[in-house]
Amino acid sequence: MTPRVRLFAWWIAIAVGLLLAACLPADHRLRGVPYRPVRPAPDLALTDQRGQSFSLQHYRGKVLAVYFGYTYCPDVCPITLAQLAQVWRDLSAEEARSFQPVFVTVDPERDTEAMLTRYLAAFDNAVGTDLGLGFIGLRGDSEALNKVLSDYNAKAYKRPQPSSAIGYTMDHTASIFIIDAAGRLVEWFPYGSATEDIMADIRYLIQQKEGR
Amino acid sequence: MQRSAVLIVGLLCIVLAACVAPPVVSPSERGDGVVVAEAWARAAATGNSAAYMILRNQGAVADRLIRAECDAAAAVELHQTSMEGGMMKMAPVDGIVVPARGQVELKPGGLHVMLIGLKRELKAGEKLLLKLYFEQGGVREIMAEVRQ
Repeated sequence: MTPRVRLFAWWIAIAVGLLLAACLPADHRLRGVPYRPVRPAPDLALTDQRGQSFSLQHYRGKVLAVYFGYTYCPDVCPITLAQLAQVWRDLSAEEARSFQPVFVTVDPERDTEAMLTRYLAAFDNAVGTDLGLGFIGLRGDSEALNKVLSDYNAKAYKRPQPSSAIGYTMDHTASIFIIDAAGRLVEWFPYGSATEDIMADIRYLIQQKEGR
Repeated sequence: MQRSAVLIVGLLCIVLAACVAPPVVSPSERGDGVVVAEAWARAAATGNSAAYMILRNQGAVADRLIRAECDAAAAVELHQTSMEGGMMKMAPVDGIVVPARGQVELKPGGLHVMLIGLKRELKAGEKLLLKLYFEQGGVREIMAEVRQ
């Protein structure tokens, strides 16, 4: 090959490459805070509000949104769960089957299975469509909970409030952790993220899984 | 003659009215210049909820919301949520000061009237009666709309 022909071959290769790139779907930039590199999501070895033991393994194929909170929290927790309910409601029926929000209580002392059931039912009602099991609420003893908190680099501290009828409050991480359909922890959203940003990423991750 | 009689009676009426009517005192002096706007409470099936509103003080004297009451909750307290390094914290506050000719917004993620131990479900669309006690302005009854 003469240098001239070789140069021409390079140009052809670059042109073909560019054409191919243009045909592939545009890369979606995740709107949360991405994990680099993405990592297998640590298991949530806890029990749900029906008393069944939970395992992430059973949720391969679904995109999960995991939130740590407690039912006595009147403010930040319901705001976040309401956001997730809105996302779930706004997905198409097909997409909705591939989404699963999970609420992990940091206050298992007060958040019994019955309490979690009643609390989460209100958010199921806000979604309104057929949700399978609906919002999943997880609880565990302090050892199991601390393991999960530490695996997710989340924190929760009990704070006595002697002057309050509530007795104590929980300081806790208020982020939403997103697990993709392959069971990988891909990103997290800080409290106060826009619902549309969460929605965009959930929808993208569901479509990724369907290979669209 | 008749005309001047009417005039005298009229003047007497004005003088009497001025004596009978309470002295006009501006709201700022009474300290009840706080107007409550956009009050709403979060729908909740069980446990706790919160009420939010804007407190506008039109008076020249600062006032302070010192406590609140609501029949739907076992206890009502003034609380504040704050975020610190991604951690959500909540704690009671000792009153909420509404500065003179200023306003304070009670909103999600910040100051709120916390409804502890709901005695019944708060359903979206209903109105909830709240009693607010101000240091200067006394008690004020307001209706908060329950929303999701």
